Amino acid sequence: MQRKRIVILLLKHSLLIAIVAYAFIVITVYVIPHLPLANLRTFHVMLHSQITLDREKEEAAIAETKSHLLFLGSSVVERGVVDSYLDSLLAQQHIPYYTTNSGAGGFFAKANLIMFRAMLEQGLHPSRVVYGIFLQELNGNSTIHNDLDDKDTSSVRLKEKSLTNVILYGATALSPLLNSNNLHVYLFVMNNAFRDVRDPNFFQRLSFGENMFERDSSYLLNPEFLTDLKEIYRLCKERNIPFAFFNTPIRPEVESLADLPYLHRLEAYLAVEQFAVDENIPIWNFDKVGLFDNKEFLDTYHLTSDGARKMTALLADKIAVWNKGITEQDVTGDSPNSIRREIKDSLVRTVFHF
Amino acid sequence: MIFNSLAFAVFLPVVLALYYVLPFKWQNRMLLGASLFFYAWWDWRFLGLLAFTILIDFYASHAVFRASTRKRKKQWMLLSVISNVTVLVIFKYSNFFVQSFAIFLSKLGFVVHTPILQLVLPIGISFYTFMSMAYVIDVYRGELTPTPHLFDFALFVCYFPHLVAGPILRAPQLLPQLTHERRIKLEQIRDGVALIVIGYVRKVVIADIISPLVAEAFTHMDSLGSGDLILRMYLFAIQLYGDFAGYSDIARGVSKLFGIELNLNFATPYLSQNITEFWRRWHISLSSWLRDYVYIPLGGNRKGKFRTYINNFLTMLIGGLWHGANWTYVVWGGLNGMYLAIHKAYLDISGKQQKQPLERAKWTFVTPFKVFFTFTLAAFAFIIFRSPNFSSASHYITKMFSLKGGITRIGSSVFILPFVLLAFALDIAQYTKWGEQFVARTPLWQRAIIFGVLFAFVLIAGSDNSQPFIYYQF
Repeated sequence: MQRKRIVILLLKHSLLIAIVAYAFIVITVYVIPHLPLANLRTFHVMLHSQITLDREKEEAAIAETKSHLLFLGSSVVERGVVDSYLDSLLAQQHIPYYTTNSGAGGFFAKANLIMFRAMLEQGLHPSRVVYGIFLQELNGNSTIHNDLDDKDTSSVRLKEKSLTNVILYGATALSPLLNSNNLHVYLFVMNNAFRDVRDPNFFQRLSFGENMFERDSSYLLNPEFLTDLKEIYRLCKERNIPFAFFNTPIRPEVESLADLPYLHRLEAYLAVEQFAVDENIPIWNFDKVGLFDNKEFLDTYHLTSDGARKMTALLADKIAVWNKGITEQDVTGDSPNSIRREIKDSLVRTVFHF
Repeated sequence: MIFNSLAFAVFLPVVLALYYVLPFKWQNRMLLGASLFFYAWWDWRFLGLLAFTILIDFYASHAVFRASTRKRKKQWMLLSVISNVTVLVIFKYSNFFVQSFAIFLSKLGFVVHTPILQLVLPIGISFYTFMSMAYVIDVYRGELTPTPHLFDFALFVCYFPHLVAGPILRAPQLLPQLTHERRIKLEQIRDGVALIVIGYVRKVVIADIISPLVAEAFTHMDSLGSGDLILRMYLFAIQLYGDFAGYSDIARGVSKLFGIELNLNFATPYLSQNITEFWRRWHISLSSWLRDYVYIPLGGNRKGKFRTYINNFLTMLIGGLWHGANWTYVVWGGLNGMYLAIHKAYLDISGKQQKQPLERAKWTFVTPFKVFFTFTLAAFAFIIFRSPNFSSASHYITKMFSLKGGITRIGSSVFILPFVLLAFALDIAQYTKWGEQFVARTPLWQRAIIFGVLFAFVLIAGSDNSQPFIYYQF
């Protein structure tokens, strides 16, 4: 008799706690806007995907005449492209686009490929895709791998928010919110990387953090990561989605010579440029002498809101040209005004700073 | 098998179901089989070593008990001690001693090429050898009559909730519970479930979430400011506590479901007001083991004040070495021994009395400062405990005291705060006995809401981030 009571009591405790725990998880998943549900822990790879998908659905419901301009890339894109400002600039030129900026901190081509593939699987169809390249892009040493390392990332799948999926993957979807390295990122993403904030307050500064180059980085070019970029392009090409590259700037003066990955800077650009030339892809270089000022950078390579607006305006001009069917390519050459020369000059200038 | 694994989530309900169905006679056999399975899940080959320890100590205890002369008793007791220490030395310390000796010789100008034994450290070896050895010593001291049944003794050593990371139990406390028919009380189920949830919260929600920040501090300390390093020194203290106290809570909670009570291993150590109190509240089963089997045999406080300080120091030195085959553990133990000796000297000079173990003091205005100071002393010593070697520890400490760089990772440092507060809230609930009262007086549905939400956090945090318990390596 006593044993029966013990078993019933234990079952009652276990079941009630399990029911409350799962109810809490299910409610939380539904309450948090854009929370991505995936079969593996991914966090803002899929968070950006979900935000982009939701935006495309919303826009399709409001105005079907507008076309979707999608930006991919790392934090330099996330911070550097002001979507609403770009829309207004393009609207002034009677180009009816709405922009989604899916650039995300620490995301190099590998993470962008997963994100882009997942979005396409969920029915996303952007009119144009623009990929912002960061100078470290091809060395593969993404500063944060966003929970993707040591996993078979090709198997990452975005899931519908059905009750079954929420029960199955809800805890996994929420788990990155309890990761000490990611805790601030959700706020950062949900607030559009605070791109419109001119004078960030203390709390916003917390979300920005500060980024310097890794001092122990060898900055070797890894061809494997170029393959990921090529795959993103291939996915666009097979869906007839026009694709373009742009090169993001770095601060004219950096704090230490040890921070300067100057050899890789040219090497990475040349590798992407060769690919762009071979495939006749537009490539625009914004890393030019005199184009950006020190004060337009938040840290070594992230733009302030003013810097971001400047780059967005430059992008609007390039996109307007591209929209006319013209492919602009800032390719290197040996002439005194070539990009190769620009980059070398930029390096010499930076080194002379010391 | 680790507590925070899917395998254990299947294993425990199966064992409980069998346990509640079987008659007493078969319950113990099933528990022994389950415990061996639990251990074999990690590496079945080490069951032989476990069996060796059990057999030696079981027969040694009977030989000690039956021996007619004191000398013969002592010989049998020493056989047990030597065999246990030999097992420990071979599997845990052999490379450490050989390499240390080689380094010593090289300092004298001799170059020695030492062989390295490629041995896997058997999980839980320090815990079960200490338990088994203490059993024989207790019989030798006349404090215990050995159990006539090998299976009972084997279950005492192998009982799975304590097998791999303690608490280090004494036979007088556990054996009678194993040998006599158990009648599980309803309160044990209620308290057991609560302890299991709290244990998982401590381990998965607090320790594992803090863990990456601590790991970063010890692997990339050059990219962090001194403010970060100070903060993460405290964070490691909280992580280690959450990890180990979490394990102990789960072990006690699981054991309650079988109607078996295990000793309290952590009694809110970070609310201690001095270092002596800290060591009476931290890893209580090891501290009391060291007191009874090292400190007291060394003379304890019976041979004068100076000798008492030395005995404190030596005991902690051995306690440090128990943790692992690395000089950092020895120095960590020595530093704590020094803390204890200094505090003892202070008590002797000031004429103050140390409170009885686990006695709650009245808090005054200065108490939080005392608590924080004690916490800082413990956290500082844990830098050496966590560091892989001296140069790393010294680099950490030097950088920390350079007071350069401030806090560079402000974001993660601020966002970790709720978890730190949760850790202290759990401790305050335990210290004030509010938690106990809540569990005892609140209706099931209300408790289910609180523990359900807490468990949701465990499921969320642990869904893709299960890390082994730190003390498994000891």
